[in-house]
Amino acid sequence: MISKILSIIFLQLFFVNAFAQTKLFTKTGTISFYSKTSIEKIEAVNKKVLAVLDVALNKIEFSALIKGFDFEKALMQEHFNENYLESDKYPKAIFKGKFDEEATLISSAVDKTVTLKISGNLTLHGVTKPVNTTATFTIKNKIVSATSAFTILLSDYNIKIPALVSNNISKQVQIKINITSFQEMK
Amino acid sequence: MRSKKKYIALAIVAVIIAIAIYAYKEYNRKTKDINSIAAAVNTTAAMLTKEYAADENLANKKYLGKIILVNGTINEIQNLQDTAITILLGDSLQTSKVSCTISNNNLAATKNYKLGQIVSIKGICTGYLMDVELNNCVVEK
Repeated sequence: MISKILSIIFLQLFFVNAFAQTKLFTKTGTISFYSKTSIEKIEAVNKKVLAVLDVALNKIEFSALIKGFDFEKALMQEHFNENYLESDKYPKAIFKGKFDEEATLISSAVDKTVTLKISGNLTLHGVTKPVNTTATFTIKNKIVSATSAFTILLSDYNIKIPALVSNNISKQVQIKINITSFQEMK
Repeated sequence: MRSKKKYIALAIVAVIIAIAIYAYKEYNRKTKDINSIAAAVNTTAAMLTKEYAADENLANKKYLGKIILVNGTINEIQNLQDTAITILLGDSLQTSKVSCTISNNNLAATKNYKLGQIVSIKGICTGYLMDVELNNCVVEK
């Protein structure tokens, strides 16, 4: 009897540990952003986002290449790269965040959906600013997927819009992150 | 006299129309297909990943935003929801590879690609994350 209980405790410890060490990643996360004024709707998507989720250390990191954002209109894409985000000088956007709650909630063999608060820093256009958001993680058949969204102000990141077009471009941009499946990092 | 004025007015209208057409076309211009554009650099997957791993900033100065032709061995073919095909060129032993996102109108050309096959792919270098990223890729024949 005692040995049985002990073995259950041992097994549980083992499992908790095994999960606690989980480091998940994906190279095919999606970041899209959207801004709209009455004159112009701006939309772009990047499907090659690198995301690393470290459950043991309660950390999550994203990085995306600025030149990897695809726009429908080539002119917008050129302005975005050359004038607004200066992607030759600042080729990457990086978010480094920490979960406010225990991220171990994510790693579980049981199907569920959890929403966790994240506080972190977004580096964009050479400027680093704090960003607080929530992310929703869904675990289904042991596959972890995630979505998150937040809004940033262009002025926070020193992104200057010329006066001539300032009415066409929204001062704030909504950013959406979508990860369809994390893989285990070996 | 009158006919001269008429010509001037006509010329002005023609110029305005030409500008409007140009502005409209420019505004609606799609991202260019790089099929017909020659590559600025010709290299191999091994060389490119090596240079990026050694010094990302230096490699960016050389390759970022440029059209690059890469020769390499297909290590992995990722098919994301059948809408985006990414081909990883490189060596299994190396963590860093060249990740080529195939342009939408070139998907058919990759249909018969097999792992281990040596291919030449042309794309725009967007930088370095875990792999060296190439966008808008086309298959070089």
